[in-house]
Amino acid sequence: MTESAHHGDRDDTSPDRAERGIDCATHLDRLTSELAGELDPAATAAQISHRVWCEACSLERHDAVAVDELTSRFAAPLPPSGFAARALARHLGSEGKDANTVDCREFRSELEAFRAGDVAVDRTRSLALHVEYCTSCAAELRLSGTIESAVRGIEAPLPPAGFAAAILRRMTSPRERLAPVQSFPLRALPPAVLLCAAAAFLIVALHTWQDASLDSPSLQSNDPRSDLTATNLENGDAPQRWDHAIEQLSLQRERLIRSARLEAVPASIGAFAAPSQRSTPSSRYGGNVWHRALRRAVLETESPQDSAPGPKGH
Amino acid sequence: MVDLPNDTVARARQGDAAAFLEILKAFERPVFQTVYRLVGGRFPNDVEDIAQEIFLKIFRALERFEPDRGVKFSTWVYTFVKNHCFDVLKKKRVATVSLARRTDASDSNAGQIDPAGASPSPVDETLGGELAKHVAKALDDLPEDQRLTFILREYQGLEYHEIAAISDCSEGTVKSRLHRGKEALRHALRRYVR
Repeated sequence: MTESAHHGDRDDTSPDRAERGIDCATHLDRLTSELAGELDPAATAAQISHRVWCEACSLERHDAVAVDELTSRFAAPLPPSGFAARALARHLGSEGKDANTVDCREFRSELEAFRAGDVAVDRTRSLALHVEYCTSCAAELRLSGTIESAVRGIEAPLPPAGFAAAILRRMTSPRERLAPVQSFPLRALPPAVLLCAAAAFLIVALHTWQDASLDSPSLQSNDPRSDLTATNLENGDAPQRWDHAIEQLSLQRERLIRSARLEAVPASIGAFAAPSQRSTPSSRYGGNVWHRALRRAVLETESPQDSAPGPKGH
Repeated sequence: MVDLPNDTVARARQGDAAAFLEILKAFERPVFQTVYRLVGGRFPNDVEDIAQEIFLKIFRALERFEPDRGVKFSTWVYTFVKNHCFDVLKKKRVATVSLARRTDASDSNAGQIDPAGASPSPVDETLGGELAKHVAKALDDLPEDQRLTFILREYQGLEYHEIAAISDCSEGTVKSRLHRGKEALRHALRRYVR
């Protein structure tokens, strides 16, 4: 596009071209510098002379001045939110990584640790970047500090007057002096010792229970003597039950005799199983008598040096 | 946390009454206040008895304190505080649960009876000195481990490793409990502290 086509009103081939000094393109190139006051006086004069003759360039300058005035009248816009954080992240070479990986939920879950300085250095940097551009999390951070101060400011009551004296009094009372120092620390013992102790306790308990069961008048359901109750005796099948029970008792006696290595059973024991005693109601306790006698016999056999009267005397 | 010289403890072990008194004077306030903050919200009438029991236990067990192992006497004392208070809370847990339920129920009933807007706003309550109540309630609602950690750290100023020794856990666990406790307090108290 030629100058004449651009400006139209003036013909560059006209005889006054020499008076205009410079062409329109040169004027436009220098216009910004001219408005900034950076041109030397000769060039500025050439610019002015050109505009006298060129109305289009004169309008061009007028528009440029107006734009400059408008630009200077309005304040420059503020940097967008998070600009500093992103600039720092860019500077540290971690843009798009640290600053963006911490979201609000993460920040709030780590807020207290962040305040206490209990977060690793890298993570601290990420959290600091987040709170710099997140106003909501920054407010939460301030709230946390406020709450902590408020909670710390709540005083607990002092101990009442005479508190120490009361303790000293209790220490000197006979009841406290007799109190045990500390219960035995079972938890401090190794598990193997505890297991051994438990096993020993079970063995002793079992042995004691067996002895007690021999002396006890109660009848167990699996004991043949359980059939020898008054109710069963009154029923019609009493004789059969008697026979069965006596058979079982005899078997038990044989087993016990064998296990105790007895050579002979006392006569009173053998007499219990005699059919003549079947109809005696109190004989349901006879089994117990039998057991007691047998046990005594076993004890005598095991310790013959004892001169106590044996079951034969019964 | 001010600690006692070892010779005081040694004198107390030999039955020196003055040494007992020194120990009591040094620890009666922190022990009492710690007990108050740990169990006072639930059993305010038992705080003094509990604190006395703790001191009696400490004095009975003085023979077992071993300063040569590097354990601070204050740490040892707080171990008794923690164990005894936790025992108390454990024994009375059933009653505590039922009381808490009754309190919740009474609160909900009160909310139904009171006309809307009649209750004071959070700001008014705070200005009226109600913040302490809310703090106590929020502390009381924390799990026991978090509450103990928070009290020892924020009120008694113990170090992480001391709290770890008292709580029989790692320092990391102590930090975790403390931060979770603070987070819970922040959520509970945010409407009262603005």
